[in-house]
Amino acid sequence: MLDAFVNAFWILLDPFRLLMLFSGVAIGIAVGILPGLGGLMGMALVLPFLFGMDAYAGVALLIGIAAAVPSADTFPSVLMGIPGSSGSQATIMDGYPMARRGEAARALGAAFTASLIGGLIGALALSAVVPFARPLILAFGSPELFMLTLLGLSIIGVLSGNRPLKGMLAAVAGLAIGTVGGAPVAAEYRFAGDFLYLYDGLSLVIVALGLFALPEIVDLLARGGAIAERARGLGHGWMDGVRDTLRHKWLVIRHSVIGVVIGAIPGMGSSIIDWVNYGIVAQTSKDRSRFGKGDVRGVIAPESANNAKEGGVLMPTLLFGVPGSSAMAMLLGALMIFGVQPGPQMLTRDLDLVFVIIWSLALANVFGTFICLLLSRPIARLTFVPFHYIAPVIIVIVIVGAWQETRHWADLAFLLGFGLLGWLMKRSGMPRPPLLIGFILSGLAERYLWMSYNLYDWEWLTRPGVLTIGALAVALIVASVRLKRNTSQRAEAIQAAERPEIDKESRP
Amino acid sequence: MPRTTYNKIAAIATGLVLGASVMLPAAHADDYYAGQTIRMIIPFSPGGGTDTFGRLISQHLGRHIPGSPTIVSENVTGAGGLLGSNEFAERVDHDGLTLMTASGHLNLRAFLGLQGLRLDLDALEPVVAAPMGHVTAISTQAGIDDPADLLEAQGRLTKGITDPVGLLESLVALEMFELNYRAVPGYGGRGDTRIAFERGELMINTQSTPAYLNSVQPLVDEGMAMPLYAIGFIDGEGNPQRDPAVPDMITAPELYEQIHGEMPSGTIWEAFKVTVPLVQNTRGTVWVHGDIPDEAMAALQAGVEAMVNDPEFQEASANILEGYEIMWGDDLGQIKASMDAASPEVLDYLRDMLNERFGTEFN
Repeated sequence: MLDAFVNAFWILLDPFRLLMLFSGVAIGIAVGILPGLGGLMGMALVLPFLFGMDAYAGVALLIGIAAAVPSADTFPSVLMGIPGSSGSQATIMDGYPMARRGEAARALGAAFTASLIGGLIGALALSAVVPFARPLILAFGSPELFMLTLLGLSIIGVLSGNRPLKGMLAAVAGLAIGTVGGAPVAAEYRFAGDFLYLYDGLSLVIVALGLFALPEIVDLLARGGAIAERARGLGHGWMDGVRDTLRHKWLVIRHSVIGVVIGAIPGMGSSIIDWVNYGIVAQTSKDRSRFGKGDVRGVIAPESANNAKEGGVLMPTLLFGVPGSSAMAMLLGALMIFGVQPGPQMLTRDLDLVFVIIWSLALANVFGTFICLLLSRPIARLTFVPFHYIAPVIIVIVIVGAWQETRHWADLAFLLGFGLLGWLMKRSGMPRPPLLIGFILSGLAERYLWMSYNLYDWEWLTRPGVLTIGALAVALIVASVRLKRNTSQRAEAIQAAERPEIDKESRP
Repeated sequence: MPRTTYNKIAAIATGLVLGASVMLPAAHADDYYAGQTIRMIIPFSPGGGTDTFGRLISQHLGRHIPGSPTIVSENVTGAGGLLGSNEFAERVDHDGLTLMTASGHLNLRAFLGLQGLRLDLDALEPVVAAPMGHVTAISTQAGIDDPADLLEAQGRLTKGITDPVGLLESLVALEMFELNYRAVPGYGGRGDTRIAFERGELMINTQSTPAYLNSVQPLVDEGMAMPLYAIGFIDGEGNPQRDPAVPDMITAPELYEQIHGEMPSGTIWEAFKVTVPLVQNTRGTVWVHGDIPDEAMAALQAGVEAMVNDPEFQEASANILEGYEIMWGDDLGQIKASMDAASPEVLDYLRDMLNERFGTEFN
């Protein structure tokens, strides 16, 4: 196995394959920066060029894209409060307030360093776990997956700050919106009427762009000026960010591991990973008063997990041929073009290719981080440009991003609708992340609940995995209620001391 | 070497004569597609089996069609293929400049008249297609060690359902055996059912034959599963045929005969004979509207013929077709023939079964 590991590195050093890896990284950075476009889009773009390429070069190209997107999607999340792709939504929570304070470069520096370390840990985990990942994946049956969705919902308390009731309301609304479209376990379409567009339900990209991008744009335009409120020079902020991340090295490692594990569970959807990690870091930190207002830990945790998850989602993809995310479905398609059938036998028949994938993942993270660090200073300057100069470009990008979903006019109608909803929520102080989480988990929770019942009647409730995860979820809720009581007074005292205006607006 | 030279001249002469005879009727067709762009609608996400087939054809067909048009494939996704299919059915000109790659299951949906789908296969003409077989396996937890004991299988015989119409051929086979199975809908794809099968959550699992060979065969080797039967194919006379990718595996009708001493009969057998060719013969079907201009149709057919004889295409397609032969020309007649052969009773039977068990609604 070590042989193949070293051999794969030499295979990848071929100039053409390195070039492909580099092109992949460049494409990944481009689609990562553009809101609404993600790895799936980037991979779809290059798919036609794979015919006729050798498998190693093609895989390097695709992995380059997949690995660079979660690094680059940090730019719009931090700089504009717009999710760059569905994996970087939680980065907005603290990254954007940092940018508003004029600390964009620091936030980016911290995010990219965390991304790099996370990505490398992901690649390492993948190579270490390749021989043992099967039991992990097999341990999660439908009942366990259902309990994981409950665990995901239990972090809503954390994300609602000191407005738990409004947070719950938003989450319930999200769960309800998530039921639109084809039911997960029955041939039935809800709230869709004869409108075929709704048969698939609403798209996460459109809901996220609507909720987060449009309200931000409207408010920034209404306020005038630049995104950064305090005209402070960028200075060497990005080195501060790098130092921040290195100082929190245990945090980086912990959240990378969480990212890998959640990513490895097929059927959980990787768009929830950043939120879960944000919830955990906000929950387990001693001083929680700064979260949501520009705490660098709130950037580091989701960003390390976000890059590390690529190592995780590759596990079911390579070992079972079950895509761990929608972008991985594309990778599977590409492997089939090359005549490689993913599955357990890949470890014996195509071990070289497996390790080329792992090396590509590691190298792409390194390339991607350095390019992003190089770009971060010029791009961070954008936050000092009066916003009305950049707004038209961003609006166009957001609209194109949404339009990419199905190229149906309803894409734009729903973008506007959710933009309005997001703006109303923002104005009325109702937290938006719980709505998004409810929306993401709605279909999964329903699906796994019915499947558990169909498979095991009520016996599923007594499975050890179910009981363990259930206890974890209860512990999380109890802890959050108790901690909240302790910190809320402190937090309010600090809030009162700050400029209330910033505080109100920087809160998502 | 005068003899070889003579042979060469003869060969060239024959080639010229043959070429001329092909080119004469194609002269109009040449004008028709010259400088044009053909749009290939693929109503599924990039990367899947049908998409791969559609893209393979897009890549190679263009240069073989007289006039060398460019073919651009476009994934129009949404609503399980409904959005792209409806666009092809209703919103494009019938000028031969738009093609669509459908999966076998999409064909079946259109054939049964799934609610919301407005594709009428009778108004379309297949251009080229590729087959794909399926194999059903059972977990050893069921306590049987011979497929012939199927009806004695023990425990909850759970079968994972991704989309009932999409699994119809495997469901019709189970119904044919009158097996008391428990359908569990909600699985995201056949890959997910494969993991649940290994986990012991599901007892019965159907995979495409290549996927079976790659990911279920190892379980069989470990003693965790046993293949029951291949769905197999149906020949022109309605007789079962072995799956060319697993020629040694018994097919479902043969197993039925082994258990009951006679071939299956009645409505369920008719339903099987209709469903199987529609799904299995068409892992991907490229359709064009039937009423496009004659010269366009001739050019497309000439293009397909030249393409399948092109060694470059044969090499590129070998990996993608996974052991099956491409279907073109007269062979495509089977697809329409099996649709025409379906009696109203069979259609009602299939619709009722899907409606009663899964609540699927039809137009």
